[in-house]
Amino acid sequence: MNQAALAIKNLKKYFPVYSGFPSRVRDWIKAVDGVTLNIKKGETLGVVGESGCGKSTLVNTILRLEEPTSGEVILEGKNVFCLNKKEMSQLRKKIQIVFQDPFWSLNPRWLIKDIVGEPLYVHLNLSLGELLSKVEKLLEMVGIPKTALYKYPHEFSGGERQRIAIARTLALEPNFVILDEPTSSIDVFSQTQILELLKKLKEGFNLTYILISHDLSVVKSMADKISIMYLGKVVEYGPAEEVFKNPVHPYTNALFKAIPNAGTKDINSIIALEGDVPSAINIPSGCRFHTRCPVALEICHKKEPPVVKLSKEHEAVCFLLEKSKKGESLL
Amino acid sequence: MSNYFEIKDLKVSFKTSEGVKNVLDIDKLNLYKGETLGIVGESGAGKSVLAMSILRILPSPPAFIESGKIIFKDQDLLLLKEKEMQKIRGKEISMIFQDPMSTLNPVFTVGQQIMNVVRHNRHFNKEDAEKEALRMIKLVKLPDVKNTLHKYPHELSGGQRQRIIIAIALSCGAELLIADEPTRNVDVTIQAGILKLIDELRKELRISVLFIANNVNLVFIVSDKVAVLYRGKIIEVGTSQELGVEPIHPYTRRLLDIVPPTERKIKNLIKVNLKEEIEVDGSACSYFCKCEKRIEICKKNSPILTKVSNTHWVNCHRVTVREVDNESSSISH
Amino acid sequence: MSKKSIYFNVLMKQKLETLKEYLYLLKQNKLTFVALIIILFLVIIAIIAPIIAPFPSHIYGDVNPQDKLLAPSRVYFLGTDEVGRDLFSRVLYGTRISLLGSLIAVGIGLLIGVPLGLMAGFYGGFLDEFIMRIVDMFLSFPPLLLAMAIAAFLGPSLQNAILALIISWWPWYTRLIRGQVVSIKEREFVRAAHAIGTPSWQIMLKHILPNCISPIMVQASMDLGGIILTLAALSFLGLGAQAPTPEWGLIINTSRTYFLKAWWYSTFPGMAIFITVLSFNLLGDGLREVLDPKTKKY
Repeated sequence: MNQAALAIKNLKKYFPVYSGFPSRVRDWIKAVDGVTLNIKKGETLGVVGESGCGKSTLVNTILRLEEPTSGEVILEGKNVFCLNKKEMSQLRKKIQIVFQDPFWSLNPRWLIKDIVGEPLYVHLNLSLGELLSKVEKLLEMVGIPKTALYKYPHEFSGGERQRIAIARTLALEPNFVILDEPTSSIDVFSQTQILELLKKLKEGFNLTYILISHDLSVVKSMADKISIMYLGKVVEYGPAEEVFKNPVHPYTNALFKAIPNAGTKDINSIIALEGDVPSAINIPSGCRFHTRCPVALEICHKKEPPVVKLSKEHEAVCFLLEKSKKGESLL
Repeated sequence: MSNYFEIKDLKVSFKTSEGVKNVLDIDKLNLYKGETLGIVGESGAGKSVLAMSILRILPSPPAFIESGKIIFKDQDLLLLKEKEMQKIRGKEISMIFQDPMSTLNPVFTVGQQIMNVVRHNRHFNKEDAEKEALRMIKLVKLPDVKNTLHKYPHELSGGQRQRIIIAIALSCGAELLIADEPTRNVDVTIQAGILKLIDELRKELRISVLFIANNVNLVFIVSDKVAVLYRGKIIEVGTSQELGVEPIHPYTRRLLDIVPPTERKIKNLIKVNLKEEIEVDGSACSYFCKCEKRIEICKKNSPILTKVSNTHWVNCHRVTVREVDNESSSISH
Repeated sequence: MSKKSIYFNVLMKQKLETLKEYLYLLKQNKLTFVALIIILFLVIIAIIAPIIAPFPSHIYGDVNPQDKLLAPSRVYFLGTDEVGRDLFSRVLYGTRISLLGSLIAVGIGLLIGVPLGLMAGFYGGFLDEFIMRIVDMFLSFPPLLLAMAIAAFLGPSLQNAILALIISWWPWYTRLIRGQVVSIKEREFVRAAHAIGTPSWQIMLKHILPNCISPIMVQASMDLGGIILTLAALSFLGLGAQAPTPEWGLIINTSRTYFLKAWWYSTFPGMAIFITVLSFNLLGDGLREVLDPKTKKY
């Protein structure tokens, strides 16, 4: 049984809202409000959610680009937040990130060789020749020709830039890679290429991925496990196939039904949810989804729902499921 | 009405530091009254240029319309003087954009913004304008109508703002609504609501809609007819039924097949990449480099829109050559 | 060829290409091109002034009372002043003083202002507040008045005037760059650098600074002109260069008494100031146009 390679334990990140003169903290934006996830080595975890669900904050906090309010992130046995600067710098080699925007994630005034070589330059003491060789090899791995070394990002298409970003991500041979909407901003031809490349690299280097995407087809094609986030919490988690076939949480169900896909040709088949996403400052009482839930019960207004296990690895946070012993979808 | 809305031979170009670049080259496109025509294409394909050309709001130093006709209710919009065009904008043809926050003025309440438009264009007095604003807010299915009137844009959510934009766009009785990626910046669950709203309004107010998006599935469920735009050219147009069941152009097929990507298609894709290095000049088909079904003639000249059925047209040599493609069933001609 | 030599070759070729591109763009705007030529011309004059001046001794010392207040002639191209010194030689040498003075003032102003602005924008929080409030204090004074006060306090001399200008000018750069830094540090490539583990100082210097240098360059080139003007103003008011330094402003000051009798005395140094400042302004404008569309590409 694989040990959890990356364990996130009850992670919380609140942002203070200042107001008044002299500035006092009036409110908190509860961007991430108690997330617990376990990722096994070699797995791809898909994180799905709409804007405001906290996935970007989650990513930033895991990478310690933000300090958490509470909770732990255990990477290969060590708590990320307990490391000092030096140890943190060493750890950064192990977990890397590919950003959504292939344009702005590369410094427009830097040459490709400097962009891809930066991690090597910062962490390793290589001679210029060694560094250039390594950069060439990395670019080759992602299918970019050597001539790119002396070019600028704007000379490449979106898909190519994303591949350069991936080359940079792999420079220090990380074990974990966070993919933050890797294909959202590129054209349809490059999307499949990039996904195929990511799959190849994962197998070749035994990587563990955290894939964040709002595009369900991308998640379907890559993820082993999937977690659905809403307003800072995970509402459903399980093996991707199972969750797609049988979404049990009302939000997951609404999310899947709201997205037009190849099957739907009729506008009446997509489901619109009433109301808007509540603000993260005023999180609804009880189950945070109850304000928009089409099947909310009395108790959903008052108490926070428990985690209900539906199978060995499939769980969701909902009172409705508790009621039904078999855990069948009541929708 | 056959000439309700028709675009003929429209060529739009941009003057850049590297010379004149043609960004739009549409042979023929028409929209019937009460219909929703969907335009799907990736970024850079020319969708927004098309929308802006219809209302003639292209940024005019770099962009210019080389030639063509845009006929609306038997009038060529491109021949109208600016004053006459102003009578069309907002009152007969209206447009909504993709970013509701930047389209709304942050210093006025949404009620005031609707009222301003109505007072200016329909010469209402203050009380009537307010009643009209309330009516429009109700029409776009926003709850709590009276309070919404006094809210500022930043006090509303993205979805609500987009509804206000739709209210403003339709407040002066426009018959044709151009929706340029209206749900791009909106969450998926909210998007569904906006799409349904546009569809309901279309039936209630009996307007026609030109729906532009880069998500092919989105366009399909909203539109009666779909036109696929690739690099400024319409490469296929047909009813959503026809295109959904039997797309002919390789690009359309790729757009539809891409979701979800299957093993077979991926292998095709990788093969094509190796061929990408072939040099082509301007006379070749614009899709030549990426096309897995290309033949000799595709390199030499650009195909023209060929009729496949009364409603289905394709811009591809393979249809002209009348080769029966193994993978699609019979192509009627 | 070793990788290193390939690297240098390509880099050199690229730098040349960029230079050619910049020059081409600058040439597009005729006015800017003319301004550039004039400035180059002025720089050359500044360097060789003592050599080409027909009466080098008149620059500082020698008085020649019998030739006082002579109109421009073939001997004295721009005429003479009230003690018979050749105006042409003095104005020529004044170029050196003005250009050097403004270069030092702007240069040191940048050296102080830019790092402070970088740090304020990057670190935010208390450091940002602290630096920006000091900047606010400085900027609430009209620059000329501030320079005057400092110069008066330190005692009138050319060096003190330049010092006063440095003190008055650096806050502008801090404010300018801090605003840029605050928005650039949110860019994804900065986040990427953090995620890689790049130390903060490297991020500031190598990532952020190159991306916000353009407005600074534009401002600095216009300031070169502005500082010349202010320096002349200070000298005109007696707070800057002192006699017998041939600083343009000072010359104009002394010319006031003879204004009606000797038109050449105030006109030519005035024209010198005008042409120099105008050229720098035009250069700044042109640079802004060159640098902006370039950044639009990104």
